[in-house]
Amino acid sequence: MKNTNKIVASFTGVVLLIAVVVAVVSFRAFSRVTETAEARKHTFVLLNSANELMSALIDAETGQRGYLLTGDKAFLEPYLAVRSRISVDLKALRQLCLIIAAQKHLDALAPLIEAKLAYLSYNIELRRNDNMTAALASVRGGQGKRLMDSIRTEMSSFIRIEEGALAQRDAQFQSNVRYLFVVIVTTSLLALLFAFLFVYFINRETQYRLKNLVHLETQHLLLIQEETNKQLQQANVTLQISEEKLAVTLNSIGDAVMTTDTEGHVTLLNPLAEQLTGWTQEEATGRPVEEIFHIINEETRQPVTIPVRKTLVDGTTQGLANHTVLIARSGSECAIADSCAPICNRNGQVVGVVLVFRNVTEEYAAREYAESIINTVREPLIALDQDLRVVSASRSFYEAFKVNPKETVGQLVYDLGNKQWDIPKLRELLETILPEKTTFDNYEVEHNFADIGKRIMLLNARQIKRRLGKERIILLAIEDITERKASEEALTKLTKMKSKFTSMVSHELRSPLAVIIGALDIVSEGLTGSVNDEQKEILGIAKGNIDRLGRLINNVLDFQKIESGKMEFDIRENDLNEVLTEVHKSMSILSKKKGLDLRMELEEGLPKIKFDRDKLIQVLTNLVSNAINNAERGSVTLASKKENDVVHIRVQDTGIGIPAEDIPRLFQPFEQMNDSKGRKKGGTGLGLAISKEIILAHQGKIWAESEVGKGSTFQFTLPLKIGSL
Amino acid sequence: MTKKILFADDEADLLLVSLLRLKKTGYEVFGAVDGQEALDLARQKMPDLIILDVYLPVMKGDEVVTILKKDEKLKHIPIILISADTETLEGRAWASGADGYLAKGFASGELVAMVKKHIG
Repeated sequence: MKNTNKIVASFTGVVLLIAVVVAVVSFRAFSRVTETAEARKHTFVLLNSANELMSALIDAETGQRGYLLTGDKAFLEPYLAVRSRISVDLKALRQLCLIIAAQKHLDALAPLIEAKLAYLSYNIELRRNDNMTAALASVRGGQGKRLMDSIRTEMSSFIRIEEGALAQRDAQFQSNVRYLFVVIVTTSLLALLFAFLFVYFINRETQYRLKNLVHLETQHLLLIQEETNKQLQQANVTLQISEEKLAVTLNSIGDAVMTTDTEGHVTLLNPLAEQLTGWTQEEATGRPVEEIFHIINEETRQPVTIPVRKTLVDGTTQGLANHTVLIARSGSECAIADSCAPICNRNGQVVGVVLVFRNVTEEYAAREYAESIINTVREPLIALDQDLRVVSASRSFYEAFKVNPKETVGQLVYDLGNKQWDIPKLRELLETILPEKTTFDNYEVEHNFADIGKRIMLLNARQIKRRLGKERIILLAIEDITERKASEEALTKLTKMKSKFTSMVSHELRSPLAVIIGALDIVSEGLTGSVNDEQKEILGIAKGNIDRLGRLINNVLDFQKIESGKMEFDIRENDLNEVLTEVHKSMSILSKKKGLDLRMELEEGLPKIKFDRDKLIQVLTNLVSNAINNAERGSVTLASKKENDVVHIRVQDTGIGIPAEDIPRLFQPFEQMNDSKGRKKGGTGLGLAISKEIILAHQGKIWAESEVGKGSTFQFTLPLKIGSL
Repeated sequence: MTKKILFADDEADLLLVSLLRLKKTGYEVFGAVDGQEALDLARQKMPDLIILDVYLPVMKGDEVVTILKKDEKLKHIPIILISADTETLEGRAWASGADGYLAKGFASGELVAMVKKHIG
């Protein structure tokens, strides 16, 4: 097709090109013909004018002669006409003339004609003056004749030239006409040729296409035929396969299959049927179905009617009653479930019966297993079918919700316990949420039951799609969390109370403490009279313990704040070394008292970092005082060091050290370390726990390393750049 | 001239010890056990410094401060609020217009220092 289009296109192109060329050539030929015709006409006009001019001149001369002879003025008319016109005519002729040679002759003519006219005028004038003789003499003088001859000669030359030109143009005209004729003939021939070519090509193309079409159609038909053959073959194969399949299916099917004829005589047993009944295909064929398929009721042990006969009569599908037991030829028993369907021919006539049955002993076992699991779970559990009717419920369900099994199984879940279970939230969960999500977890539902009062339940559900069939089973676990909820609430209340109590007690303890301190100070400072050294020492012991009590109260309050998340931090940029120096200064009194060397190893040029100054002093004071308490001799070192993006603070002592097993408990609240002799020290058991919380709040880390007998090192880090708290 | 200090607290022991301490330090002291008494004594004695417990009977300490600070004759007297409730103390001091505050459980030295800071 494309090819054809190409050919047609190029063909049309060539034709168009030729047409254009022909048009141009024809047009040129035609215009040349026209041109030469024009030129011929022009020459004719020239010749005519020249002849006219000549004859006018001759008329003028003749008229002059007549006048000379007769004196009649009427003879002068041609002369007068010539005289008034001739120079104009000559000029026009000169303008029309295009041939230079001819022009020369015309130019030569002008003075001659002038002279001739002057001569004529002279003669006429002589005659007018009645000088007839002079006039005749002038005529006879022959000047007029000479002039006329000259004029004739020039004119003839002119005419000859022009006639020569005319002959030339005639020849050219004829040649052009011939040329035009040739062009027309050629064009016609070409047109004819192309028409033939076009018809030829179109014809060839059409034939080609037709051939192609026929070829394609033939091939298509062949393909169809082939396909049909294949399908036929396939159908044969499929038929074969399906026959084989049927045999294989019957043999490998999970169910036992037995067929009978219209008489109820066995025609086929698949292997499973052979196995269950204890009969082989050969032995069973032709025997009445009752002989092969011996069934009884599980509980009554009475024979059960086989549905085969009924199916044969009614043509309907029958199912066996539950709890049917098949007794095999050998006498062994198994629980079965079965169904019985008619085999119909094309006309709908019953031609036999197919009996399908299977061993359900294991299924029963599985169900028992499942039920026992459900019953073992403490959480109340019910299984619902697609229509939200109870399939089964766990024992714990009956116990927890005081409903009995007989009024439960088969009931709509909302109807349970005299419709006590018609709970809007449960409806919403089962009917709206479950169909979309197939599961929901931990839905808390509060409901006031008529029988058991107000309950708070936690609902969990799973929608289980059965492997076979379309129905679904919904497993609904109902946890009664009423008690748990109540105890949780009680616990929250208790925690709140504890916190309030601790805070109250601590605050209330401060007032008497202040009084005792005040009173002791007044006495010990001697404001009420002089105090001796022994009295001073005893008062000092009392004061020391009051301070400890005060610290304990402060720690308890701090810890309380940390626990309830109420501790507030005033984080701002601070100079860490300055703070360490201050702690060093305030603790040096205590270390001196014990004869310890309190050292400082500060890294110089630490950048300012952000922390709560008071809280950090609290931590450092705690660590340093612990170190001083732990060390009997040697030194306590307070050090700072920048490491990557943290500052590392170290409090090291040369004390008794802490056993490895005690280190993990160090930062837990109310854990107090004993000294080497197992005696308690004067701590609160909260200092390190509070320190840990404070450091954690600064996004730092705190830990301890120790070796018994050599000393302990408590260290913590503070980030150079603290994130938002 | 001996400076006068009014100290109000319903806790008799604390009041006693504090008054004794201040007296021994060299001030003339007056004690009150409820807010109304403190207000009356303040008008009557024109003390140089008033120290008030927050939780006073009849009228709370910070209420007394508010009233005193509105009194043209008395508003120049510096007042220190004291309380064991350390969490609300600072806020109450600010709100009422008191000149200072001290958490209960203070050492006697702290009390004296605070007093000296205000009246020398």
